[in-house]
Amino acid sequence: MHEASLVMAMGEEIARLAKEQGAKKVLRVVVSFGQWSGIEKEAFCFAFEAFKKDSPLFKEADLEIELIPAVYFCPLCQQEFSPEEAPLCPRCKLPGLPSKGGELEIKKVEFLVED
Amino acid sequence: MCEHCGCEAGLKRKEITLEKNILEQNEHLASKNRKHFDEKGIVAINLISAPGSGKTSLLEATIAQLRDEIPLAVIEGDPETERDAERIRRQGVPVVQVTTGGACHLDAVQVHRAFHQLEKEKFRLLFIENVGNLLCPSAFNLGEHLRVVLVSVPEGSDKPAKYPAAFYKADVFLITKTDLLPYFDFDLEEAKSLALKINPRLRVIALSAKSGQGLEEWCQLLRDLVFG
Repeated sequence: MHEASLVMAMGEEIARLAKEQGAKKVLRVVVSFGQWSGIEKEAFCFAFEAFKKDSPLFKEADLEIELIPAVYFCPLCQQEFSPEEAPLCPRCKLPGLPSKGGELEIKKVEFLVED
Repeated sequence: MCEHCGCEAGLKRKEITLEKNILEQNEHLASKNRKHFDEKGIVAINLISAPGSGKTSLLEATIAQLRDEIPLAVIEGDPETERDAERIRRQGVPVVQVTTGGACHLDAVQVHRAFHQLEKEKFRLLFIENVGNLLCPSAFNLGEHLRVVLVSVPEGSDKPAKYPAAFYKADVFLITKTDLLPYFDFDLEEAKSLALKINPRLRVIALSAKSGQGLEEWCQLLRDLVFG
């Protein structure tokens, strides 16, 4: 259940930005998680709901979660590829290096600010 | 916001694209840790596994093997108690116990503080034994040079398929307690190929802290890191 720690860290980051922007409310948060990030989507949503109750700034915030599929990089032909089974480069048949898939990212935030 | 009724007159929606790591603060501190380690010529190893995979036993066996060649220190992460630290202390190695108060992982701040407590000690190799958990610690970079994930024979060879995140970010995969292979239905090749499917650059070593089998390969990897 490290999802709770992640929600806290995310909340601090967004609260800091909200202050900078003079925002009154957070309306929407879009996060993206890699396929191998180890995040349980439901646990993250659950932790976010709990966090909202104690954070007035986030009271009306909606959460959207995007998942990023794993992508590997071939050291020989320098191309990226998305493996269906084993991460072998479809051209060179060599094992690829992990390139995308571990992301834990705050992608977008929508605030309510003074017009 | 309208002061009379609290409606949203005079306010507008503003969208900001951030594309920022949620754990940016932790990443930042982890890179500071890494800098500290490098300045002092210390190689740091982060050991991650489920509870009971044999992290502490591996450390005891590794210390016995390397103590005369490489000065070592250990940071022990546990939700509660000093038990693991006491086991290491008995080996005469400097150790700091971090009790996370129930939390399921170590983070870069805790390692930073623990490292300060070891300031007076002279060592080249630092083991950070993470909290027993195969899921959460994998998200938290501690500034380590090498991330090692352990699975013991009684846990089953399909562990890499069940916990891909731990393997995706690791450098070394240790299959531990191989002395128990005759008693369990553990398929070494299956465990290895499942892990390599997620992360083809993993170095896989099968070993037993009890019998000593495979331990030399692991110790040689550590020597190469420190002296290489």
